[in-house]
Amino acid sequence: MAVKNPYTPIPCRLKEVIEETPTIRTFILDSKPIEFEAGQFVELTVPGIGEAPFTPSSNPNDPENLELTIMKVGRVTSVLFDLKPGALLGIRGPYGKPYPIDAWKGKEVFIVGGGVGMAPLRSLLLALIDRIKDFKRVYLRYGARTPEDIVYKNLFPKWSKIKRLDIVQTVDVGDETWTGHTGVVTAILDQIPVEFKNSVAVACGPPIMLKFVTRRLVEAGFPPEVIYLSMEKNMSCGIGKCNHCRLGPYYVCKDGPVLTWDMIKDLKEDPFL
Amino acid sequence: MHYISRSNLENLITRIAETWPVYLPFMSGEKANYHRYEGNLDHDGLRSIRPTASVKNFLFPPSEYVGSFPKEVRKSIPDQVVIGPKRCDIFGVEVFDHVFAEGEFKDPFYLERKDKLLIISADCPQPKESCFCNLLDLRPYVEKGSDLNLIPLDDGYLIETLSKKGETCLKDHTDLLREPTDGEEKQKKAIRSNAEKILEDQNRGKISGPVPEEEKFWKEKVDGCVECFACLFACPTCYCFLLYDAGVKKGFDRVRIWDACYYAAYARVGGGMNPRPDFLSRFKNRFLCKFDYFKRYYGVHACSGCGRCLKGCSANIDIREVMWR
Repeated sequence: MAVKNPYTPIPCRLKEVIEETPTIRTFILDSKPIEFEAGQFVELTVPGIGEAPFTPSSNPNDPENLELTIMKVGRVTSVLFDLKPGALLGIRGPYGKPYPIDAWKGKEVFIVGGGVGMAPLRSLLLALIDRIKDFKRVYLRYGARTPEDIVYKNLFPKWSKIKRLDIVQTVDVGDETWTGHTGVVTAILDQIPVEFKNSVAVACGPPIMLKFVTRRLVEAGFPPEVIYLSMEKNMSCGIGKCNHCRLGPYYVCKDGPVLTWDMIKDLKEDPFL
Repeated sequence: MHYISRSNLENLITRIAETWPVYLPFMSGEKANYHRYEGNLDHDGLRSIRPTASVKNFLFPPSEYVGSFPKEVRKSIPDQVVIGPKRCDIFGVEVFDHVFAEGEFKDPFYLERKDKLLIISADCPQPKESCFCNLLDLRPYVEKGSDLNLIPLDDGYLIETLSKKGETCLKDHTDLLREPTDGEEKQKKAIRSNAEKILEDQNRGKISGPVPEEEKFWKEKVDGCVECFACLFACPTCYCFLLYDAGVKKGFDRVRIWDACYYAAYARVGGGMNPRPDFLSRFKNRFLCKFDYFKRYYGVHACSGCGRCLKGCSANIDIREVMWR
């Protein structure tokens, strides 16, 4: 077949599993099976169960590992959570368009994440940290339900030491050990200390969070064409053919999964459903 | 352009069928259905409107093997000949070409099937009341997109070569052909303009500007729908598919089957969120996909005016009342 078969995954092995929260784990694949850029996603096959789309959470520049931070929510992820290191998996991709990081040179990058939505943002953040001097400043605003639900607990302290990187976390409900902000993530968006003319915003999280965060980012003054939203739908083929991820005129798998607010604000359907 | 008599067309098809399986339409009551050629030719079948199934079935079968894991095994795809598709179905192939044969990721299965399919299209001399290709700016005859085209005359046919593949096919059978007479050329023009007139007359005023946004309009339409999805599966331009793994313990075959955007679980994601949870939103999405989204993406509507959806609809939902341009 002269044209490469885009539907068949390549075999790979599970190397290590890290428990992030009771329902979220990071799966590290043995020897990086495919290259990707921050924002692109892959289709992961659990043999005999099925396939599901995930955006890697590891640094795209990491030559050895590809990591996926995954929440246990459905059929494929439930079986994935039972797998042990060494298990056979399938992977294909990468698909979709990466974040246009080069175009952000000299700008302030304002990132908002919620829950497991931090996964793709970690990949982006690590790529930005690798060249942090290219950006005026990078902000991360992250919200989780409880302190226990925060992902990458050991990475946040490291990140907070990085110059030009400004991080604020919040939890919906704190506990006796929590000394930071409490409340949903929009509550820490009252003050957005950027120069809106020279900055971009990035958000990823559950649809309801995205809806309110987008509203807040627009109100605050970000132009719609620089608000980058992760609009993951039911991406199945990954290559703009099967039509399951359709959002208005877009194939989310091909034109996204990150779309700008400008692209979707006037759709006839609610993009946050 | 050549002339071929009825009996010589049978001879031609018989010769082709010695090498390849040939499928062509046969009348069954009012409807034409594709069957494999076994020595008899139904001239009425060739002259009828589009058969019940479309060419899509040959290029994009309802269920198709698209790979295996962990070791990829290639399965062979057969050479086939299909005779009789009308302009509406050739347009369906154009829609499929946009999706499967263009851009960064091409579909090797579609490409191979298309490469191995010889399409002998036919004019549509007598459009019926369900036909509305003219509303999509199509004419009831084929000028490109197939390999050969048949124009049924009162007696015999004209046959036109439209591709290299078609030319190669006819090369060894020139003994069955002759130059057409002026009279036959004239007849062709008359048959074509008559077919166009039928379509214009019956579809005049059928679409009138944009679909109203009012919920009432959509509610009336959707209330009749019994969710049988015949419209989607019969459609020559609907291309949605589902990938699933037919599993054995140590490996699996990946299979794609036709899917339909009307299914409740169609757009549902892991965890149960559903962008189109109610049937009304899925119903609307079908029309938006065909007449708005596809046009914006590929420059053409994903509808060929074949009328299968309205003929197959138990609720008599006529897409002409819902479409807009």
